[in-house]
Amino acid sequence: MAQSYTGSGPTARHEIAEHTGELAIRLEARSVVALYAEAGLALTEAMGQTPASTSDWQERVALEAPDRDALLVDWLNELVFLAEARKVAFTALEIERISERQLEATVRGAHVERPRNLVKAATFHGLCIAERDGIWSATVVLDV
Amino acid sequence: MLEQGKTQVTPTLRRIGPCLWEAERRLEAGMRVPARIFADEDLVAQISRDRSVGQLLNVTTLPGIVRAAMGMPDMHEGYGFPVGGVAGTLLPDGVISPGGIGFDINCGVRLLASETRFEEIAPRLEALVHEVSRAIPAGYGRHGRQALSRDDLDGVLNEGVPYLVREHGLGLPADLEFIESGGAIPGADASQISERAKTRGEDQLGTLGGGNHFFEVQVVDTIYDDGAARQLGFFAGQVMILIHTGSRGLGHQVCTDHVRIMDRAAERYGIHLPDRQLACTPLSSPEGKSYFGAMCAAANFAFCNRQVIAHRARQVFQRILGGRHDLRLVYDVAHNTAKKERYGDELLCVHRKGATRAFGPSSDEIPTAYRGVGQPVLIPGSMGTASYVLVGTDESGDVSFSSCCHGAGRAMSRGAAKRQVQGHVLRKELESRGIVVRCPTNQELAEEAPIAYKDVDRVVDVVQRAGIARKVIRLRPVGVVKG
Repeated sequence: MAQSYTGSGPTARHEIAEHTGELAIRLEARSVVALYAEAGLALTEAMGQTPASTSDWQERVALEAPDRDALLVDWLNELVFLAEARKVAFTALEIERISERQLEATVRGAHVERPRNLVKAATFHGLCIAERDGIWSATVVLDV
Repeated sequence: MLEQGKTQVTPTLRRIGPCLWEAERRLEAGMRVPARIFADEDLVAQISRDRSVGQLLNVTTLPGIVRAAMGMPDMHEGYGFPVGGVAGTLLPDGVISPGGIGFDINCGVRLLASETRFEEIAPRLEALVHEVSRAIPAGYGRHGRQALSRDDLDGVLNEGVPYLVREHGLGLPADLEFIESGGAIPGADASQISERAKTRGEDQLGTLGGGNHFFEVQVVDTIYDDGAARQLGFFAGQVMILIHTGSRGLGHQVCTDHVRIMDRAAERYGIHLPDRQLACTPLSSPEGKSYFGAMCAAANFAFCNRQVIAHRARQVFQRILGGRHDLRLVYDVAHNTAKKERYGDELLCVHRKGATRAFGPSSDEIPTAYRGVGQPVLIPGSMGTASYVLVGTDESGDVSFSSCCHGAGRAMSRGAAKRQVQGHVLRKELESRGIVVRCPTNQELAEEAPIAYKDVDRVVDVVQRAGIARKVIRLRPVGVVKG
């Protein structure tokens, strides 16, 4: 999936982590914006979406939340909703503006005949976005 | 104040009965009641391997919780509540927590009984399972044939299965008595469901979904209680259908919406919780009433989903096997709900997350035909293993707020299951045992391998020994359509 985001974070990574009943995504990034973008990428992998290269759909997203953790949960749940309601596989997530409580992005994707979405929702369970030595990290449990 | 994201106490479980363990109440940790788990030595050891006991301790901090936070023998790690967690809060001001019900509102099971012995249908089993897999969309993101207008969707949400039967002829009027709450939960309010949730649900009625959802053809292979089996209309060798699915994307979105609302509102009610996913407000609050109305409506959607699937199954049975092969609804029971129930003088909001009701023979909430025997308690095993039908006891009210486990319960993550089991090998093994399997991919088959679950025989034995329900029959699978 093509992925782009504003901000200066040069690297980010994620892994799908074990959970007895669900799935978790573990994220690390050098900036907040990279963390959120990486979260979208990890979610797409957890959804099991069929990769698509060309976009035929896009939608603007504007979110407001009381704090950074809630903003991340809202961002992921927005993507879950869009994938299922618009029946798309994502091709690009462009985070244009982000602050502690607000996020603006453009999400692009391709309509698919049988959209796959293994993820029901993102949860707050055990979530705590933290920064240490310039590395931002978070783990989000997904209901699958 | 409790610290978000931290388990407050190190779980220490003490045995207080043959199948009952307790973590005593510790006020300094914010526990309002003790936590109790129904399990034997082996199951409690399995349960203690993940974070579910810590999650159950977090549940004990909910405002208004009474008696104990309870873990069923199939308990495993979830988010907010553990899966297999039960909690009653005292009304009118006890809280309701969407995280105590989960995203798949009224995920549940429905059992249908044929009047046919397996030998009669065995030659057509492959065709039967194949046709069912064509008639009932399965797998993630699949949409159904029963696209609904907004008026119809509101009818389903507000009025539940009676609306589908009356307006669309989907199923029989006789079905209604054999669905929990008659397939229409009082208090359902479609106006409390967001446009987003309706959009997700509008084309998903009559679909299985993915994950551990399934449609199984099963055969009665053991009868434990002849009298109860007779009263429930069961006989050895009888072909049965078990359907497991829920409220699909509509229910998921309802939970997402209302966790968000309650997360933002909890502070106003002075509620501080060790896990933000337990977000809650008093049921009597505007937020609590709104969620309750939405949750009940989503539960109606789930009852209707299983009603449509059962209708399709009946059509397939008649087409493949001929007109005399009808399917009688035995019972349809919800897993993930909160319900207002009276225990003694107290009116409670009983949260069941991955747990079911198990009402006894004296309950006036069970079908007239089952009075004197008890509510059928349906406990599916893992794919390819036995399922059970039990009946609830009158004692279960005192034991567990008349709550029972909802299955075998996962013991292993999906990733671990896939590392230990190859899907194509499992498929061959099931087929070698005479089980016809339809599953979108071998990978998804491996995720639901029996090795990933607890031993259902042991789980059911604990339920019986704890006095929650008693065994009536065991079923073995012969056909599986996996969601």
